[in-house]
Formats: sequence, structure tokens, C-alpha cells
Amino acid sequence: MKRLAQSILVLGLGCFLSSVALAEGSSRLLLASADPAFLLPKDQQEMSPCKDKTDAHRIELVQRWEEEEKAQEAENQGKTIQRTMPDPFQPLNRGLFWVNDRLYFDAFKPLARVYGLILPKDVRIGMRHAISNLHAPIQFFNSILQLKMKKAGTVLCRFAINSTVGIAGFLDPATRMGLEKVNEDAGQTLGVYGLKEVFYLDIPILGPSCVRDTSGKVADTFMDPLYYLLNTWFYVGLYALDKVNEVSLTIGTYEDFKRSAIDPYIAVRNAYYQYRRQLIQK
Amino acid sequence: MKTGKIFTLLFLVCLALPFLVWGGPKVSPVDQVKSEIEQGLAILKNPKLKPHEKTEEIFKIVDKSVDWHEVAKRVLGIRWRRVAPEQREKFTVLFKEFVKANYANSFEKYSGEKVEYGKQEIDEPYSRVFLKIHSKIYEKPISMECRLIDKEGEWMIYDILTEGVSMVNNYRVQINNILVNSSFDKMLETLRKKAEKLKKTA
Repeated sequence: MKRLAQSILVLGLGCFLSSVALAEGSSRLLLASADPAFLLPKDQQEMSPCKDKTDAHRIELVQRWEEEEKAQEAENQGKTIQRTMPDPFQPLNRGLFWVNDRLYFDAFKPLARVYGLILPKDVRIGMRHAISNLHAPIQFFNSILQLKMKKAGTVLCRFAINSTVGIAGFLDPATRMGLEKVNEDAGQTLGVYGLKEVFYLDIPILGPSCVRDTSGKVADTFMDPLYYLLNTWFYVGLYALDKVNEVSLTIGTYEDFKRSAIDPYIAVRNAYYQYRRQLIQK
Repeated sequence: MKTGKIFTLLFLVCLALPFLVWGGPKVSPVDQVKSEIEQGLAILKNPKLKPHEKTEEIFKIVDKSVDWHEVAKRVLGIRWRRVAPEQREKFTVLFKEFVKANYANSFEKYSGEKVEYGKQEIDEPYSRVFLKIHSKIYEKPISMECRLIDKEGEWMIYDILTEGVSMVNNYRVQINNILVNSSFDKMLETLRKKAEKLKKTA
């Protein structure tokens, strides 16, 4: 009964996010037909020459803007300029970014340091492989949904090899055999079928995301056999273990990235956008 | 007979002239990137060099291989043409300083990561070189892409992508965001302050 209630709750959340995504997408499309500048992210709409202009000037200005963009595009090796994703809730997201930043420095990092002192690096790497191996069905189903059969085959072979020869996934002999880890999730699947990011979301603990990828995460939970096999607390505990284990192995990466940024919030948002886009294109 | 041979030789030289004059890079992009990275790795592995000497040596290679003008142009994007040449120059110098200050103490963190050189794609005057960095701390090898431009017969780097994240694009968005709310001079001031702060903490 409890499991059913949880499922309904998660499903409800997923449906809500998907409907928001679709509603936002269609309304944006209608507005975009009137003013292409609307398609630009909020921070770059300000740059658009359409701002505060009468309708008579709009078409001409938009055309000029487009011409300028095209010229810039040609300059940039003929590639489309990547824009960043819309962020209508920037003040809220900035607040949540600060929360996540504090969570990292005050909770995850100290915890990961202690964890790293207890467990040797090789054990932690083994743990990462094992947890990743347990989530193989998510990658398998998403590869199938994206009709990437070769990737689905790779996931299957990796799972078979690493679960047996790799001692329950702690070792990764499959990579040495040339079967590189596949990284597919439902967020990417939705992206492959044309769903845009809709808008940016910074979620506490989970970190940078967007409406599409958050919906994807919900869908991934349903695709994960562990969700049905494990008690909810064990499932959440496994996630926490994975997170702390990962932080313990990559301490310094976030710090370096933050240090190199002029505006860390914008830098993370844009890096997330670019990273997810290239994953979808792969 | 002898004059005939000389004329034939001259004729052949004339035929070859367009190819000789054409200043296309002699070295392939992947070979150039490889040579620069190998030089950098040799410096990092040299136990005789002190950390600041390593940084200095590596920056010499960086200056030879990166076209900062092209980098700055792309970071400013559409605004490059809207600002005065002096401001462009100021920005180029400042941005270069900022990036260098950023990486000044990161070379010490090198812990034997291996570089795998992948394919190259040439679309004159541009080219791309794909790399993979093998590091134990990450689950998968890190994919990298160097974007180069042919500058008078030499391939110069103007952007680096890590896991599909373009450095130029990332800074462009950050700088655009500042420029939405403040002037170009204020943006330059922000960049200068940031570079100074980085130098102090280095």
C-alpha cells in the first residue's frame, strides 16, 4: 500500500513536470512565431534589438539581428551558436545554487573526506563500478527507447561480464575488452525525441537540472528494478552512498570549476546545458 | 640541351609555385597538438623544475599555441564588432591574463593522466582534434576537443571543449550576462579584479 502511494506520488510529479514542459513548449512556440528573440534565453533577450520597439520596427530589427547572428555564425566555423537554456526562476535557482554549494562544502565534502580516509581509493573505485552496474537496466531501456541497439548490446554485455568476471561489478573488465560505459538516461531519451530543456532548475542535493531532465529522473526511477526490489530507505541510502563515494573521488573538481568562473551560477548552468546537449547528440 | 633542361626545371618550379606559396600548415593539427601536449607533459614530469618554473615553461607553450585574439573575439561574440578596437585589445589582454591566472597553480595537480590522441577533422581554415584523457578518478575517459584555426601556416588553438563543454561558449555566456546589466568598462573592471584575486590566491 505504502509502495503504491509512493508510486502514485512519483507518477503524479512526473506527469505534472511533463505537462508543464509541454505547456511551456507550446506557448513559447506561439510567441516565437511573432518574435524570434523570444526564443533567446532571458538574459540574452535583453540584448535583442526588439526590446521596447514598436511593431513597425520589430520585423526590420529582428531581420537585422538575424543577419548579425548569421554573420557571427559564419565566423564561428559555420556552427550554430549555442545559446544557454531559459531561466525564468533565476532568483530562486540562484538561492538553491547557494544551498547546494553550502551542502557540498559543509556536508558532502567533509563526509567524503572521512569516508575517503576509511576506504582506500581502489575500493571506492570498485564501489563506483558496482553501483553503476546495478543501474545498468536504466541505460539498457533508454538505449532501446532511443533505438540505439548497439549501445543496448554494449550495456547487456557489460552487465553480463562485470557481474560475473567483474565480481558483482566491483571490477570493470568490460572496459578493458573495449566495451566502454554507456551513459543514457530518460532525460536524454526525451531530448532525442525533441523535447527541449524548457527551463533550468537547480534542485537541492541533485544539483543542476531542467524540467526535461527532472521528468527523466522520475522515469528512470521507474525503469530501475532496484526501486521495486529495495525498501525506499535502502534505495535513498544507495543514492547517498553513490553521491558521497563520487565526491570522495572527485574532490577538487567542483572547486576548480567554481574558481575558474566569473559567475559560478551562470557557468554551471551553461556547462550543464552544453554537456546534456552533446550527450543527446551522441 | 642544357638550356632545355633548365627551362623544364623552371617550368616545374612555376607549376609548383602556387603550392609553395600557399601557406597551408605543414604539420597536421593532431601532430601539432600532440607535440604541444608532449612538451607540456615533459615539463610536468621534470623533477628538476620548481612549480613556478613549470608554470612559466608551460605558459610559454600556451602562448605559442593559443591565438588569444581569436579566443577573445569568440568570447565577446556579437559584441566584438560593437566595441572600439582599443577596447577589444584591452579585453584580449585582460582575458588572457585571467585565464592564465586561473590555471597558474593547477599544473601541480597532475598525477600521471594519460592522453590518447584521436581523429582530426580539417575544414580549412578550421580543424578539430579529438583527445581522451585517461584518469583513474573519473568513471570514463574525459573526452576533449581542440578547435584550431590556420594562422599563416600554423594551427592555433581558439577553443577547448571538455565533455562537449566549450570554454569559449561558457565564458561568452558569463560575460554576456554581465554586459546585460553593466557597461563594457565595468565588465573589464570585473575581469581585472577577478584576475587579481586569482593571482593572490595562486
